[in-house]
Order: sequence, then C-alpha cells, then structure tokens
Amino acid sequence: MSRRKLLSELTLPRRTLLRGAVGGAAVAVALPPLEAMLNQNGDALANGDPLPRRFMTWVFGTGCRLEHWTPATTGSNYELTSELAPLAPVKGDMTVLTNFRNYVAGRRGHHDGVAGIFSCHPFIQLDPMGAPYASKFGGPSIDQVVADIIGEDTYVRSLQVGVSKRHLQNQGPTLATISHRGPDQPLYAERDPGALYDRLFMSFTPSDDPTAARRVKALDAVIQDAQRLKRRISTNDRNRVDAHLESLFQVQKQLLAIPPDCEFPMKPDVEPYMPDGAEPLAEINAAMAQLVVMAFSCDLTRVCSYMFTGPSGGAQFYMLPPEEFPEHNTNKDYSHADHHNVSHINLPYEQDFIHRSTIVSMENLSYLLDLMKNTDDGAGSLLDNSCVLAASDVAEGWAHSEVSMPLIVAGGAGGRLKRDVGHYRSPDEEPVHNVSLACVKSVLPDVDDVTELGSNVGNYNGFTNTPCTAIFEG
Amino acid sequence: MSSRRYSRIDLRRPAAVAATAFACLAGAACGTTETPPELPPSAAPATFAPTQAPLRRLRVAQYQNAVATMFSVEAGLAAAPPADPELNGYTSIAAAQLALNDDLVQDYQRSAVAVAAAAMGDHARIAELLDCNPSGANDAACMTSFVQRTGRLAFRRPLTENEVDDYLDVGLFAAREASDFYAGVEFVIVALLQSPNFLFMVEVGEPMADAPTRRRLTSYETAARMAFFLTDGPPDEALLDAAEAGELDTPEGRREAALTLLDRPDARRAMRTFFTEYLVLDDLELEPKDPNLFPAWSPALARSMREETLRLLDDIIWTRDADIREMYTANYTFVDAPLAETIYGVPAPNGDGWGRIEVPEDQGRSGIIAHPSVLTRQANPESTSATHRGLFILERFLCRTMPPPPQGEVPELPPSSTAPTLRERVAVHLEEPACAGCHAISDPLGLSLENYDPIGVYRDEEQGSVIDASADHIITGEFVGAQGLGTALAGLTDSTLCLVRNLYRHGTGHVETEGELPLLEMLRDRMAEDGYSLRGFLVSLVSNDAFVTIEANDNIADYEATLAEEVKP
Repeated sequence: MSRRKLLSELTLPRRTLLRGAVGGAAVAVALPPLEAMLNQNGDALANGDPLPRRFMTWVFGTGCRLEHWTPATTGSNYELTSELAPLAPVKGDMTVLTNFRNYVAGRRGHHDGVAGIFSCHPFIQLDPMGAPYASKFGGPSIDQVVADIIGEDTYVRSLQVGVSKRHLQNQGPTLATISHRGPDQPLYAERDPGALYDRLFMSFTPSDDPTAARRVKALDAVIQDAQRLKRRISTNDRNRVDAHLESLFQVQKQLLAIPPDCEFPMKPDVEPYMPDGAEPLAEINAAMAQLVVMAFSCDLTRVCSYMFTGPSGGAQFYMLPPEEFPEHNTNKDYSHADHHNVSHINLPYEQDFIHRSTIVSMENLSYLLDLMKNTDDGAGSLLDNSCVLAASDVAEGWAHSEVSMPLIVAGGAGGRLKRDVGHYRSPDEEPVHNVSLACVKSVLPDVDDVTELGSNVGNYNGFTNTPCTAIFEG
Repeated sequence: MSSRRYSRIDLRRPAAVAATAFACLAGAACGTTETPPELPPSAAPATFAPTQAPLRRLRVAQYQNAVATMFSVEAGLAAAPPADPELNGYTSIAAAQLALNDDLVQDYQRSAVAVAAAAMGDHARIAELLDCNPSGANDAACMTSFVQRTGRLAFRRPLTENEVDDYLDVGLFAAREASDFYAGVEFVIVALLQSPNFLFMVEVGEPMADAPTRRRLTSYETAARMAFFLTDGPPDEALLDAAEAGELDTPEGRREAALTLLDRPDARRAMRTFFTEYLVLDDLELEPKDPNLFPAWSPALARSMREETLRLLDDIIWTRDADIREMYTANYTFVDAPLAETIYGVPAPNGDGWGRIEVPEDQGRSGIIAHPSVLTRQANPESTSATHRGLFILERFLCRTMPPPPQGEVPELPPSSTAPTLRERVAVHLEEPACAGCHAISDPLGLSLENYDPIGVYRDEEQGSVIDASADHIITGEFVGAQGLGTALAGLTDSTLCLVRNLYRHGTGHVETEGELPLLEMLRDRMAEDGYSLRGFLVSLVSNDAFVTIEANDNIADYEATLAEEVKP
C-alpha cells in the first residue's frame, strides 16, 4: 500500500526535545534521540529500561450482531467470524474477549457502556427540572489514568481523535467523547485530519522566533493571576482553575519544545463531506490512523483515544447500498440513514444492515492495527509496544445489551500482553472492568503504578483491583 | 473616563402593537385592547432562593464581541476561540461547569496572539487606550496607564495593584527585549486575553447585611452579567462608568440600562443565539437526509430554514414587540426563493432577498412548530419520527422529559408495506403497556405533525393513505394538526413558563432550581400582564433584585477574613 510506504521512508523516530526555561529565556536541553538510547538488540533502552509503550482506546458505536461476531470456538485456532474477518491481517496480534459483563449498567443505554469500559466509574446523571438529559463521566477515563503516568514528558500528553462527525453531542460529555480527565474535564476529539496535523506537526515554535520568550512571560503573568483568583472562588471552581493551571504549564512547556528529528508527513487533504452529504469515513480514518501512528512513532505522544463512530451516533454507512432481502420483500436504502436509528429497528433487513456496518467498522480498525504492525519501533513493531483496547458501547444496539459487548485487545504492550490467546470466552461473565485494568497496567513503567480502577455508586459497581489474567502477562 | 456617553434615554416599546397584532387564541380575548403600561421593576418573591455563581467561560460570540469592543472589528475577526460544547441543552451551561484542558488553552493562546497582532493595527484605538505618549521603550508610567485602561475592559473591573504589577512586568519585559514600547503593549494584550479573569465571568459578590449566606453582585459584576446576557457582549466603557457611579445598584437603574442595551443590534443577535439553541437549530446544515428521497435538501436550504425561523422571531420580538405566543400560532412567515418554491409552493418574493408571506391556509401551518427548520431537525434522514417530534415539543415547549427507553426486548414494528402511515406503524408503541407509558405521551404530539414530511413539505397522504393528524393528549386535550397544537400550546401557562425557564437557563448558565421557580413564575405572570412581551420580560428579569443576588461560595468567608487580617498593621 502506498500509504504504508510513506511511513517506511521515515528516519528512525527520535524523542521530542524539551528546552528548559530559565528566567523566561529558552535554553536547549536536548534529550538523546531514541536510537542512541537503545541497547544492542534494539529491544530495550541502553540503561535496561523498556521501550516506551503506547496506549489506545478505540470505540465504534452501537454494537454488533452477536451471532455474526462471536467465534464458535475458543483458543488460538479459532475461526474469524464474518464481522471479525477484516481483522485477519492482525489475527495473531489480538485477543477477542467474549461473555464479559459491564457492571456499570442498567441506567441509560450507551452511557452505561462507554462509562463502564472506558472509565469503570458509574457516570453522573444531570437531568434536573425537565431539562434535556445529560451525563458526565464519574471519574477519569483510563487513557487519562495512563496519560498522567506516561504522558508527562511528551509534547502532547494525550491525543483525542475521531472519524465520524455525526456523533451525539447533546447528551453531555459521556457520549461526546471517551476521554475525560474528570467529570468536568472532557477532552474532545479532533475530527479534522488537517487540524490534527497542524496541532501535532505545525505548532512547534520556530527556533528563530523572538517572541517565544515573551509568550512564556505572558503565561507567567496569567499563572500568577489564576493562582490569585483561586483564593476567592468555590472549591469546585478551584478544581476547574487547577485544571486550567495544569494546562497553562503544559502550553508553556510546549512553547519551548524543539521538534523531534523525525520526518514529518505531508498534510492530509481529505474533504470532510462528500457531495451528497455523507462522510468519507474510510478516507478520514486512513488519514487519522496515519497521523496517530506518526505521532506515536515520533514519540510526540504515547496515549490516544480514537472514536471511529460515536456511541449512539448517527454515522452514515454510504458504502452499504440497498440489497435485495427477499424474505422481507423490501428494498430499503439505508446508505444515508442514521446508524443508531437503524439499530433500533428490530427487523431482519435493518439488523442485517447493522451487521454489514460492523464489518465496515472492523475494516477501519484493521487498517489502523495493520499500520501499527507495519511500523518499526525499536527491534519490533509499534503494535508490539502498544496496547489497543477496542470496544463498543453496547453488545447489540437494538437491545442496549450489556453482556458480551465487542471487546478486542490488540498489541503486545512490550511483552506484557499474551499474544497466543486468540478467542477467550469468560466462563462466568467476568467484569469488563478487569480488561480495562489489565490494559492500563500493561503499558505502565511499573505495573504497580496503578493497582485499582473505578468506583461503585449504589448498584453500579465498576471498581476493580483484579486485572484480567486471560490477557495480562504481568 | 470615556469619550462615549452612556445613553440613558428610556426607549419604550412601540405603542399598541402587543395586543392588537396578536392572532386570536382559543380561550384568549380577541380584538383591540389597550397596550399595558411599562411595568415598574418588581421585588424578588419572598420564597426566592439564589444559587451560587460558578465561573462561566465566555462563549465564542461573547469572546469575539469582547475583543471587538476592546480593540477593533478587525481584532474581533482575528479572534479564534475554541468552540462551545453544550450541556443540558445550552452552551452556557457547559460554560459554567466544564474546565479547560491543554487543547483549549493552546487555542486560547493562539487566539490571543492573533488578536493582539490585529489590535496593534488600529493605531488610533491603541493611542486611545494608552492615554499617554511613551517616552521610550522603558516608559513604565505609560505602560501602567495602558495596563490599567485595557485591563479594566478585559476584566470588566479595575485591576488590583498586584494584577497591574504582573501585566506591567510582561509589557516591560517584551518592550525591553524588542527595544520597542509597542511590542510591550502587544504582549500585555496577549497576556490579558489568556487570563481567567478575561476568559471567565467571575462573580463573587459582596456581603449583604441582612443575609449572611447570600451576596449581592458588585456593580461591575452586574454590568458584565447584564451585558453578556442581553447582548452577548461585554460592558463597554460607558456601562462600566455607569457601574462605577453606582447606577446599576437599583432596579430602576438596571431597568434603564437594560432598555438601552436592548436597543442595540447586538441584543437581536444574542436572542437569535438563544433561539438557535432553544430550538436545536445549530448545525442544521449537517442534518443528514436521504438524497434519493429529498434531492432538494442542501446545506443552503438548511440555512434558509433556520433564517426563516429567526426572522419570524425577530419580527415578533423586536419589530412588532408582539405577544411571544405568536411563535406557536403565526399564520405568516418569511421566505427566500428556495423556501418559497421548494417548501411552501408559493411564488418567490420579489427581488433576490426575503419577503413576508401569508402561509397557504390549506397547509394548516402554525408558527414555528410547523416551520421546516424544526420539522426537518426532528425527523430521520429517510422518514418522519413521531417520537422525536413529540419529545421535542414536550421537552422544549412544556419542560417535560421522558425516561430512557427500556433495555432488552423491543416490539417489532410492522413494515410500511402493510402499514402505510406512520400512525399505523407505531400503533404497537401505544398499545403495548411496556411502551405506552412514554410513547402515549410523546407520539400523539408528533403524529399531529405528520402532514409535514422529513424536510417539512406539506402532504395529505403517505403511500396513498390519508394522514390522520388528530390527537387526544393528556396535557393538551383533543386537537387536530399543527394549528390545533399551536393554539393548545399558546393557551397553556406551562408553555410560556417553559420558554422563560429556558431563557433563564441560557442566560444564567444553569438549570433553574426549585428555589428559583417562584421568581420565574412571578415574572411569567408579569409578562402575561404586559401583553406577553419577551422584551418586557428581559427588562423585568434583569431589573429584579434576584438577578443580582447569589449564594455565597464556600471559600469566600475565609478569604475575606484573611484579607481583613492582612490589612491589620
């Protein structure tokens, strides 16, 4: 594929260099480039530390058709089902997990799912006084738990990207994004590849820019100001200003960063909509996947959340034209329909459409994982050093079911994840939260940096301190 | 302090329009009545309980207008603040709850740099803000003057000594580095525009002698709250001067200031923003429609639809200052050529712009509830939706929400081959006990609008079967079609109370609490006495003392005690 060739032409990724600030003036503090830090085998750093690990959460909206999703047998020799078939190129790099249960469930379809898998905290409902329903995550999402530990030294602490713009934005942060630093700090995904490109590759301060020090000085005043403001506002607002301060420090640090010695790609040029109004999902996905892989590869960031389509989202699967469906004596065209709406029509043709759309979603996941597999990283591939947790917000959309939602863990996390499991079916509906915890632990410098995740409120219990041993090597 | 004087002319509503122009409503008196006199400001109800005032981030329009007011139109155009998320229906509610993050702070940084560069292009305005001639790059006195003057506009209050020192530091550092006084000025702007005191409305208030847990907004905070609410813009120098002079501390003073603010074109734009959010019409152009079924659908048509609705509301609220309930019942609207030809089937207005038309009687339309914008938004890409349209009416016009759909088994709906009309297809929702609990409340309202297809074109039939638009509903009783629904909504006290509650959510950045409802009920009743003038409602809301009363935050007492301690010798 020509796209992959573009990546293979890269020079070896090097680490972002950070300049330190002394009295507002920039002083270069060069970190050694990555390859200079490797040991002779290229499988660890010279000082014995492992290569950096990367973490990704990936979501597609509104579930699958379990009868076409769930493999018939377990173990590494399982046969891919029709919905999993697009993942054939990375079959040996991933584990399919079935019969897991989301215990943050029973309040609101879709909200339950993303909160349960991606944060393990019961979400917070905001539905007072007849206002439109909305909810917030009850705690940080797992990508942010990870970013707090492995994101601090990279140019961007974590990336949030999305593909379909037709995602639900009017039920609060829970459905709008899968990245949350806390209930009041959702991190929204960038869905424009060009804008993501600018943020990643064009935002470095040119080395001859005389205003860098002035902008740093301006932020010094703003930081003073914010700290003074904190004294007279409510405790809740103090938390918000603390988040603001944290970001002011980060932006100040970014102002002083030197671009990594890494050949940047061309700016992607993808139209956001096709002439008939549909989104070119595959093209946007390809552009996003390349940018994310490049950002990982150049060590601009180590953490990413990726929303292919949104939970309860209205993506249009324009590539699925009407098909004859004799049993039902109809010939409906859903190629411009709202994906979530169709999922709720419990008729054979509509559910077959959901089945076929799931295959499209897996093709797009496969593109991303395959790209990671074909990108060198040390002695292995980027996928070898990553953990990708891919899931959906429900098992079957029409029923909002919460057992056996699509769940795939891909990558080796630098040896921490088992690679030969194939299909693991839980005998007793293990908590999906254990998978979340296993994924978090797999990418940390020390697996004990996080020992538990989530919380319980009433009957909604996402708390876990037992990582899923089916996938976690420890 | 300012060369521009703040106008205190009392601009009363145009006489005798409110009642006379209002179409007859079921149960309402018809015919000509006297226009009610302007009502004097009212006192807050005794049962009113205020809420805390969290930091509220300026919305995009507020940020842009703030920058344009401080510097120049060009500076406003250079501003590129990050987009507004939404919560419980309003961007202003998200603005009062959500925190910033790395991406947003980076966006604000870039915007500040771009605005400052643009602002420096207007030498006359910069000279006005300086109020001195710099003697050289290191002229600290002149830089101080700039920091104080510009800082007062940015923070909507005078800066404290510490604040002046910090921003002065930035200016002198940059001026020294560049050997250019004006480079210092530019980076003072860069810094001020990134401060939380600029980016957020900060409302801490001052103690109230008779209510220790409550506080009253300071005069400056009042000016900012009024201006941002009524005009989506900051208090200008004249309004800040009025605040400094204590003119906004009385209901009468606020009333006069409100009348002046409402006379500005910004007030119309601000109300358009409210109605766009209230009716969920933002990004209507991204609404997907099946191009095979609706080849006329396009982003341009969507923009025309939204503009139609906003023009009708402009006409009711501002041009005629008429009964706001006409939004449910108006038998006229505004169209451009695409709407006239594609949706209404009437001749295009003369010229290439917009024209007022009487809605063809046989289409049975009634105000905005049968506007193509609303009908299109609350429909699926390929079909109408009784549930979406019904829930929209319940939620937005009656402030009722429904529980989520049940999880698990859902009944199978018959295909359109055996059930040609939507009423027949969703009948099972109204029969199955597990479904009917909610669908019997939402769907009849939506089914009454079945004469309008997914892009709002009138139709008699669906697949050859005549559409039955009659409804019998628990809240409205029996009615037929859009006109029946419009008349029913206009006759309900709940609909105007719901409108007022929504306006309050948008204006204050929070969903009203039980303790605030008595205020809104009282103001709604006063609006009824005042010919249902929405403009009158806005004036009575901001002039009421409740508008400037907040609950003390949990740290303010300690803070003020510490300050008092620091002041002691």
